[in-house]
Amino acid sequence: MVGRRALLLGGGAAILAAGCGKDERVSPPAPEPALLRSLAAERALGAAMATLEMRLLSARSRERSEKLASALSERGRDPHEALDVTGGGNEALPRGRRALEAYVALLPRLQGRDERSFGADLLAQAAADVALMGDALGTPPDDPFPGTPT
Amino acid sequence: MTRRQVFGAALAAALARPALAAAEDRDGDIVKHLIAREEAAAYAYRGLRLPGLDDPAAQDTDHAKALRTQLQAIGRGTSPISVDQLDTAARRLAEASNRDQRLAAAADLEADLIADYRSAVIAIFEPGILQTVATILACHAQRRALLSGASYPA
Repeated sequence: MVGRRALLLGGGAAILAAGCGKDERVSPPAPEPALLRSLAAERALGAAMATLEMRLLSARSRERSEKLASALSERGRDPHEALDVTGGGNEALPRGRRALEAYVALLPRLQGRDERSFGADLLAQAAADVALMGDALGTPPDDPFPGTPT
Repeated sequence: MTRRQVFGAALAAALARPALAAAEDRDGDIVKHLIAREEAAAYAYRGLRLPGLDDPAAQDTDHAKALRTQLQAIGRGTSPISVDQLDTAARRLAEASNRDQRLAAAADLEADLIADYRSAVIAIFEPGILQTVATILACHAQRRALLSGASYPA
């Protein structure tokens, strides 16, 4: 039987040794669910832009959707799992907010330089287009932290 | 809780500590740099009215405050910058003497900030800091779009 003192000594030595060892990190959750939410939000935004006949903005939104769909396919997921809606011109501004929230929530799930670059560029491009859309609708953005979860 | 569970938790904490400490150090250095940039931008925008932008100086002050909160959360701090520590892009805006120069300098400043925030988003580990930095990236991307004169072509 191991005594309390031996257990403490052994434990202390193990902790000391572990502290000197290789760095370990806990992996974040898999990104696929967040990618699907981002795709659904981008599709909803794009549909609203198309309904408002903002052709350039809706085309750029479609490009972002295609990039997300490709990222999902590369990970073996079906992009059709993401909700696809139509219309929603009067919902354009809240859909813009939700798309930015989805991108901000996606970022911590993306690991490595390439994945983070992908997420950062999607967020920055969507934020710019949401601003232009809001400005065209007479509601230019004034939030210092767009994309903060509500 | 059994003795074995206590020991297991202590061991797990010891294993995680070096990696977390290194990540926090790196995150802290990045956040310090971003605070300096926001303070410089707030100084440069003070009193300026630019088309499409509400009050960028107030927004940048809010950004710096939020970043300071994140820095304090990891046990670090930084002194406010002085006027002679403005970065090149902010100084150019602060010294612009007419409307066209101010518009061009503001657009360049926003592009420069976007580049810094993009790099930060790629490198930051801690999720809370990452969220704050990502939302500020989005804000600067919005300002850049509005300043670039890229009004929506119907």
